[in-house]
Amino acid sequence: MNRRSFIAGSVAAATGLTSVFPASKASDSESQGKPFKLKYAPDINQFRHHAGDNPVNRIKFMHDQGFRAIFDNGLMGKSASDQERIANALQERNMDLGPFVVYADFGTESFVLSNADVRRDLRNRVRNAIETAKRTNAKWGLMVPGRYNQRMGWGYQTANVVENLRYIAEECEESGFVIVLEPLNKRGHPGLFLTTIGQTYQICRAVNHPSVKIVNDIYHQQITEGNLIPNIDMAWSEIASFHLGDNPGRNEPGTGEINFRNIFKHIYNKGYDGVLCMEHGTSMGGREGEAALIQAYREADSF
Amino acid sequence: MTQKINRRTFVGASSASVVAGLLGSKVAIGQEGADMELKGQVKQSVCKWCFGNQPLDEFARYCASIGLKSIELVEPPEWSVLKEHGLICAMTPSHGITRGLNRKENHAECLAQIRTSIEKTAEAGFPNVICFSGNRAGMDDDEGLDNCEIAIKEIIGFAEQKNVTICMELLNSKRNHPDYMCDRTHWGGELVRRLGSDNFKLLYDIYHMQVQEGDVIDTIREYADCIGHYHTAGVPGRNEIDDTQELYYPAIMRAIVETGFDGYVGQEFIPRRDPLRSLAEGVRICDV
Repeated sequence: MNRRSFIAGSVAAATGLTSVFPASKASDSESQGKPFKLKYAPDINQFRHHAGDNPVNRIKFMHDQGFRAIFDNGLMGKSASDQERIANALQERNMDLGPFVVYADFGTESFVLSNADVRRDLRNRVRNAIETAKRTNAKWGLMVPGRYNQRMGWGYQTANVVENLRYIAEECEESGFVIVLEPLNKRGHPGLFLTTIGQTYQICRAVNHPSVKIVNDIYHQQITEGNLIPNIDMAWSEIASFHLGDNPGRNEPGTGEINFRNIFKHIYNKGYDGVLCMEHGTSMGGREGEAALIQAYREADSF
Repeated sequence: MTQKINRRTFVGASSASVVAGLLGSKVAIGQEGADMELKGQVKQSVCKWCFGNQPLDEFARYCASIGLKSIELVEPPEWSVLKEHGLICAMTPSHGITRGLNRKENHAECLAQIRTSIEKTAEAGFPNVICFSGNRAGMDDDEGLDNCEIAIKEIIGFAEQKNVTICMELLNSKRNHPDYMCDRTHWGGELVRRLGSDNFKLLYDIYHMQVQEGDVIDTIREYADCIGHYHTAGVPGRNEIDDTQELYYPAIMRAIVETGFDGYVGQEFIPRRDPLRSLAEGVRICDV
């Protein structure tokens, strides 16, 4: 879960820095508070400087800023009552909950194996996730299908991943819960099975089930393969969610080489109604960094 | 000439509309530059082939007026026109794309063309000569790397003596140049590092490498010592480098400047709108 904790880390590092909310841009912007055109979803831990430690207050703040979704990777680790508090706060404001992490074991070969114990373990995790989803009205859970095996032909591993996902899809059938599969970049996460959008598309087409889809992490895919818009178009029928982050640096849009405004425009024009999780850090700390984060999304959303 | 332009002929279809656009251009040649004040940290060039068939003299006058320093991939007989407008040819042509240095049977022919280009380029006082790996045609990438090394070693002494840099272009093999071998920065970078000469570098084409491999800024940083020239274009489509595509060019240009790059960035996009206006906009976008 290391990759997920850097955001928390950067927020912690930012604590202690104080700054006035820059009045120049965000606050006099006409668009302030207006819902964004797309459902950009801040991390539940974001905006502590503006809205404090209570997640419900943060959700209220996010809604006031125009966000219509949030994401919480660690949702399954929270108590049932905390999950319900978050869900209620979202429901009152008609906000969506992005995919939470169901399985992201970067150190184990799992999906690539044809093994009854592994399958049982994966099914149990999905069953637990569905319980969390029922409590929180979550539609999606995220899985990273683990490491590849160095001694097994690629075709066999792919077939095993497909087979394991078919069992998982069966598990999701009744509730309609959707598992989104995330390819990660090889530089940051060497050894993982899933790396490209094309490969993930191939697997989803093979499983051929509405409960097994792709989460396209723009940051990871820019590192791995570039060609972002063509890949979005090619895999469109299987993409159910996005993660965001500019490259290099994995911070807010406008801090790197990706022209997010045009990517958002492209996604919007395709009629996308899903969530785009802001799974990245901020280029600046403290209140100022949070204000810059909102302003970055205002600018990227102005298409 | 036709052979060399052939690699670019996929634009043939659009060249008619480009010409039409140029003829009907609302930007009066020579006037656009009046309000263009550039920071000039990035020395900019343009590839003539993208911008239609209008007379080089008119095009060169316009290019000079918008702050361009070079028009590249222009044949030697036309260099005097560039010089009249104070321009250089920052990347001069040599052999073709598909039959290149990765095959020994091409070496004699390609190296002869490179040698001639080096001579003329040095005589004109220009900096770079282009070259290509050629297509794989079933060949293993390691064998191609060895063969390219052998070829360049034969000519590198001459390039050093003439103070001209040979640049091998990185192209995508996914969309525009299927089967082209020098399609990954790490492969090209390995070739540059094996040769260990300041007179052999890569032409990092930002468009081609975004199509092929992504991770533009970190790659530029990692291979800064291997890169002698850059090309631009928007992804997808190879058109304007503005807000209509997926790369944010100002950040990329800033990263290039930060590496201490002293060469040229060549605009190599196929304009969808008024070509000359788009070119001026492209120059402004890259002027960080």
